[in-house]
This record gives sequence, C-alpha cells and structure tokens, in this order.
Amino acid sequence: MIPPLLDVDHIYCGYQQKTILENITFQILHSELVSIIGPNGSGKTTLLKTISRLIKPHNGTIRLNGINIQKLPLNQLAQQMAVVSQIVEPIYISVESYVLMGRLPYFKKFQFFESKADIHIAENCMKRIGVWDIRHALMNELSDGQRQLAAIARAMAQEPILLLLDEPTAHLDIAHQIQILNLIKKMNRELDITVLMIIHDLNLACEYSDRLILLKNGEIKQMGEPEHVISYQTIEEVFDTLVIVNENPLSGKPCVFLVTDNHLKKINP
Amino acid sequence: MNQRSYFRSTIYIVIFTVCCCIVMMVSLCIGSIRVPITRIFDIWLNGPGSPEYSILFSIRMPRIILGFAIGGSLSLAGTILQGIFRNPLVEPYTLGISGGASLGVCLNIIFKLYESIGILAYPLSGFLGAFIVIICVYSFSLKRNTLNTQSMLLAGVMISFIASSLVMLLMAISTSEDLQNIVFWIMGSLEEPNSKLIFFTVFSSICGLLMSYLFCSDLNAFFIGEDDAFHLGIHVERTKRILFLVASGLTGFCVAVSGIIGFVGLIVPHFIRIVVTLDHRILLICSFLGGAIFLIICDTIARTVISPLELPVGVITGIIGGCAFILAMSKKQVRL
Amino acid sequence: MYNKIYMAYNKIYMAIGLLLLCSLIQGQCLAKQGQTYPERIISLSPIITENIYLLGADSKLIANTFYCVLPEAAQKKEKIGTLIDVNLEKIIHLKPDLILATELAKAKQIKLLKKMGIRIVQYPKATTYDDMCTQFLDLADLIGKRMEAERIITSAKKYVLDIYHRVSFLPKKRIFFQIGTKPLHTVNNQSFMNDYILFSGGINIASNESSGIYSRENVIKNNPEIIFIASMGIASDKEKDVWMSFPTLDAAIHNRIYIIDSVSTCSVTPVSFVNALKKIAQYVHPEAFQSN
Repeated sequence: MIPPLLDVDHIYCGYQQKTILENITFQILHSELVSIIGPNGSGKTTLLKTISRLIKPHNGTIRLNGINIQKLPLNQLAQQMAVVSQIVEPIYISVESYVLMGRLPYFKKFQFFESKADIHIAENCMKRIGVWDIRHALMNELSDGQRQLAAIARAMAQEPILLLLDEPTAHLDIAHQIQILNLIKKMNRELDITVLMIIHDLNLACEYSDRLILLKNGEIKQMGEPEHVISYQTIEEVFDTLVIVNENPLSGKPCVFLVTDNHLKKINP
Repeated sequence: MNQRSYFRSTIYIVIFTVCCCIVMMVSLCIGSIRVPITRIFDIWLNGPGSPEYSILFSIRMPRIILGFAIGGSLSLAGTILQGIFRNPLVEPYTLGISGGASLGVCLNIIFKLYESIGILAYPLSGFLGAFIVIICVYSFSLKRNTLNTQSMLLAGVMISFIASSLVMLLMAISTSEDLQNIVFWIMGSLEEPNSKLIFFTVFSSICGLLMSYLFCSDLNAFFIGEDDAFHLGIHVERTKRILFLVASGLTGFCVAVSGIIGFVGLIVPHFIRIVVTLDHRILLICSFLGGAIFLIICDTIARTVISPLELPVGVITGIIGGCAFILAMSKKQVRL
Repeated sequence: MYNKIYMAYNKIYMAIGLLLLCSLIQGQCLAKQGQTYPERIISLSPIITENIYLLGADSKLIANTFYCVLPEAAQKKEKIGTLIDVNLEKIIHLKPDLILATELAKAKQIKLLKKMGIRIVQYPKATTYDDMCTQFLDLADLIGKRMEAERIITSAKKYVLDIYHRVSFLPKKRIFFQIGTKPLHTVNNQSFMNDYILFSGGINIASNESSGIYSRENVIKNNPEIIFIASMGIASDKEKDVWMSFPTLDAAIHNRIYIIDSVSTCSVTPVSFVNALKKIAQYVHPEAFQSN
C-alpha cells in the first residue's frame, strides 16, 4: 500500500479563537488532481492556508509524505509544496526574475545568487508554461492571465511534488480558463505532480479532477469522484439552488445546468 | 536575472565604490583652506605639526569618515525598512526613532547629565531615547506573535508626534543657552571629537551592512507579498523582527552620534532603486555607498557654501535630495 | 534689603583696597619672572573683543566673530564664525596661541580645539558687576595688561560708587526689567544686569526667580513702578503699548515705561556698564541727577 502523499488528519482550524473548519479528514494520493468545491464562506481558502502552513490548526495533524508539516523546516516544505495564490500582484519585476524566485527554497546557507542549474530549471519551466517569450516583460505590464501563467511557472520552478492552487481561473475569460486548466492537467499527468486546487466552476471541476471534495460550513459534505459527488440533490442542499445535472456528451462527466426563475415558471406555470 | 544583468549590477557596485573614493578625496581637499590633491600625500608623510595636517586629518578626515558611516547606515536602514514595510514613505525616522533620540538628548541637556558623565552623555542619551522608542513601537505592534506592519507605522508616527511635542515643551521651559544647545543638536552635525565614537559608528555600520546582506534574498521575496514569501520558505516573522532591529539600531547609533540628518534614508534608496535595481542583493550595497557619497557631498557643501559660517547638513540633504529625486523620478523607468 | 546693598557697598570698597595691594605685589612678581604672553589671540565673543580693545591689546587680536562690531576697528579683523559655531579649519590655519570664548561655544568644537593643543579659556556668564570685573582682570592677567586693567576697574568702580551714593538713601523703586518677549524674559539675581537695578536705587521684582521666564500676570500682581524694556526692534514698541494698556499698573499710570538700547546694556564691558548704569539711574531717580 502506497502511503498517501497528503494526509489531513482530523484537523480543526480557523483564525484566532474562531474555528472555521471542523474535523476535516482526507487523503490525497500521488498523482491525483483533487478539487475543493463549495459555496462562499465554506472554508476552502482556510483549508488551503492550513495545508500550506500559513495557519496553524488548533487540533489535528497534516502529513506530507508521512512527515508532519509543522516539523519540516520551511525551505524543505517549499521544495515539496508550491502554492499559487488567487491574486498575483502586478509588481515591478520581470517575469524572469519572478520565476527565478521559485528557486529560493534551494539556496544554501550563504548562497545569494542562483546557480547555473537554477537558471536552467527556471528556463525550462518558463518554456513549458509558455512565458518564455515574455520573460523580459514586467509583471505589471501583463494581463491577468499572463500573470497567472507566470505564477504557475514560478511554482513549477520550485519542483514541487504537491501543487496547491487557490482559484486559478477566478479572473480569467473562458479561453484562458481552459488554457490554464489544460496546463495544470498536463503537469499532473506528464510530470507526476499532485494537484490540490480550489475551483468555483463546477463544470470545470468535474472535467479536470480525479476527485472532488465538497465543503459546506466547515465540514466535508461529500468526497469522491465527480459522478458520485455532483447530483442535483447535493447541489441543492449545499448551494441552496436548483440545478439540473446531466452528462457531458463529450466526456461523460457530470455537467451542471442552471435553473433560473424563468425556467421555473415554464415548468410550473 | 541573466548573466548580462549580473554583469551590469557588478559594474554599478564598482562605479559606486570608485565614486565614493573620489568624493572622499575631493572633500578632503575642499574647505575654507584649499589643498591640492598632489599635496595631500606630502602633508600626510610629514606627519602632525603643520596646521595643514591638523586641518586635513584631525578635522576633515574624521568628518568624512563619519559621513561615510552615517550616510551609509541611514541609507541602509531606509532600504531595509522600505523592503519590510513595502511602503515608499517609510524611512528611519517615520518610526519615531529620531523623536525618541531628540527627547533623550533634550533631557540630557536640561538636566545637565553631561556634567557628570562627560561629553559621551550626548550619544548615550540619544541612543537610550531611540532604544526606548524602538522597544515601544515593537511591543505595540506585536499581535499574537506577528509583527503587524500597519500597527508599526501608526505606533511610530504617534510616538514621533508625542516625542516632538515633549521636546518642544522642554525647549519652551529651558534657558536660552540650553535651548541653543538643543536646537544645534537637532539640526545635526558631523563634527565629533571623540575618535573612539567615530570608530564605533563605522564598525556598527559595516556590521549592519553584513547582517542585512544575509537577508537580501528574503527582502527580495517580500516584494511578491508576505504570504507568497512564506510559501517560498522564508521565515517571514523572524526576518521582519531581525531586520527591524538592525535598521532601528543603525538609526539609533547615527542619531545618537550626529543628531538628526533627515532625508538620506528616504531619498537615497528610492534613487538607487530607480537608477540601478530593485534587487536587494545589489541594492543594499549600492544604497549604502550611495548614502555615504550623498552625505559626504552634502556635508562638504554645508561647510563651504557660506564659509566661514556653516549650514546645518540636514538643510542641504533636504534641498539637494528632494530636487535630485524629483529629477530622477521624471526620467527613468524601473527595472529588475 | 538694606543689608544686601550695604554688603555690596562694602564689597566694592574692599575690592578696591585689595586690588591696590595685589597690584603692587603682582606687578613686581611678573616683572621679575619675565613671563611670555600670548601674541595671537582669537576672540569668540563681542564683549571679549571690546575688552581687549579697552586694554589696548588689540594688536594681538588676530580674529573675532561676525558679531564683534564694536569698536569699529574690530570689524576689520578676520572673521571666524559666530559665538556658538566657528570654522575650525580657519582657526587652526591662523595658528592662535589663545582662544577666548564664552560658555555658549559648542562643546564639541572646544574639545576638538583642545585636542589640537590650542589654549582655550571659557568665561561663564557674569552674575554680578563684581564678577564681570573679576573676569576682566583675569583676562588682563592672561594677556599681560594687569596694570591697565586695574586702572580701568578702579576708575569704573569709582563712578559706580558715585552713582550709588546719589541714590542710596532715596526710597527704593520697584523695577521690572524686560529683556525678551515671547516668552516674556526678565533678569533674576543670577545676572549682572540685576546690578543695574541695585546700583540705581531700585528693587528687582523678579530677583528671586529661578529662571528668566516671567509671566505677565506676575508683573501685574507685583505692580512695579518702573518698567525697562530692552530694545527689540518694533517688538519693544508693541510691548510698551501692551504695558500702557493696563489701567492698574503703577508704571503705566505714571508713564514710567522706558525703552533702552539693548546692545549698550546687555553686551557691556566694565566701562560701558557705567554709562548704561548712569542712563538707567537717571530714569529711576531723576531727582538725584538734576544738579548735574
């Protein structure tokens, strides 16, 4: 039995005295692409912050490859886990320098400058993600989508085994959304990188994820493959909204259709 | 950063070092008595005895060395603080350190502590005042083990106001001799008779540079946000605390020794950022040297422009610094 | 009150006696020792400059401050700065063997100069006229003009005694001596200017104050009969108007508020003190000087 890559064990976490997440337990296996879905305020970002060690859980342990993440030195943690935030700040720094920062966890004690190997790795990442052509541009000159790509390139430069993403498609148009998710899926399949991401769009979540974790009010409501998690009853219960769930004719994955007030009038005149 | 950028940055460091040496030599020659460069070596060889030797090596040289140390320290402190707070208006004095030092020296002058301890009472009282303020600002902004930068700025500004008001209160009830003493100290001066103190200032400035250089990558990482820096393996809290103490300590020493010389910590880092780079691996060194060059030039102007009278060096740093900065801002783009 | 004046009276007499005695002895000693006196003197105070000219040693004065404007010849000397801030390089270049300063000089600069081995003598503020005279004699000692100094002091003190004689048995006037505004500044008994009031037959209402800062309310409360205001440009005229506006103020009722020249009263040598004292005494007790 291969041990899980990420083992979240009965954690209770939140900010200061308030507990937002209660008794969260799940595992993520190697090479999985898992999405966390749920309504606003359900604790998705809190969960991600706790896994990335920004917040310390009140109770419970999180283990990465069997080791408690609280016991790992910070730079070792960064060598294994990379985080892409929701908002990438438009700062006065070239894409190249930004991506090179991903090599910081590998700097030795008195090392201040990147080695040739570091530069080579960053170059590969930029080429693979597709930002090599804009490597001299400043981050504040780029569009949201391009910045998001640069952030992913930086995360990849960390050579992680686990990639955490907080709503990578939040501010993007549909073309860019698909581009980013295709890229993430490619990383997951080709480079064997485990991905845990928060995503709002249920359809995209179903299309790209191996498993879904559905959160509501700080608890895991459902966990499993998209077919098992997404049903109209679950959506109505968790999101408090009527939907129709059908099968995507191209992929066979569940697909969620909206039900608006007008539709209801048609059904129930 | 590719090879070409590194090469460019190394060139900048070399240029700044050379400029620094040139400025120091020129400053040695200029004064109410002009000494040509060619004669300096001769005078030095002939040893003490001639008035020229006294002027060059007992008056000008200590001033230049002190200008190097203090200009460098203030500029370095400004760079560090702007890096931690990610706020361009932060400088060593925004955190109330100068207010605390002024208050310390005021109390020393009014209660005549220098009569019991001697002339060292000035730098000691200045540093004590600065230190107390540093502790206050630090404790106010420690919330659940996190150093909250917003609270720090607020606390610093408030303490600054309180300290200035107290200084004014003391000035209002002081005798005219004490008042003059206080005002002159506040105006800032690089004249210092105690050579041990000068040596100590130089030593602490170099130490400050070395200590802060250990965190140059961390400062670069802060640029992309504290959370993201944490995810890159940076000990954000620990780094913030250490750097804050380094910057405040450097400022405290400078204010204690030479009074209040403003603008150096605000203007020089910005200038270097615009002209050279945002990368702290180069920025810290260039900032230090830039600050040294700037202060030595300002001090030379201050003591020659209306010779034999002298202007307070803080006046010159303000005027020249402000104008030069506006000029630079209107021209270049920023690049890393 | 009478005791104090009597003591001052006595002091002056004793001083003159002692002076005559000492001068006889010292003059002999010094002449025998053949002591060398400084030849290159720098003065850091207008009062010290004036004193040097008074003693006839101005040929030895090589530099002074920008504020040394009296006598007129002093303006032509080399300038090295102000009372507080001096140009060290210039001083060293001039190679002085004695620097005379007040306690206002910057401590750091004094220390630097001492480090170079230059002799510096600092004079604190004179607390009484007697103190001023003692400092004058010390200065004279330093530059080898003892005899001239004694002559000058003896003569000056005689004048002072003369003035005092005329007024000593007249009723004492309560006097307020204003030397600054914003904040209101007066002289207490730690300043030699207090002696202007004492020797002209008056009582300083602020004599026992610990600092020179005084409140207008206190002045009204103590109701002086005479107010002197040291000239401060137009500010002194405004001050006079302010005082005149108080209907209960004795000095205002009898129109005895006088503006006097600040330079000739505040910045004085033992000799110019006498001239200033005469003017003040004439204001305080005009009846004592009518025969002249």
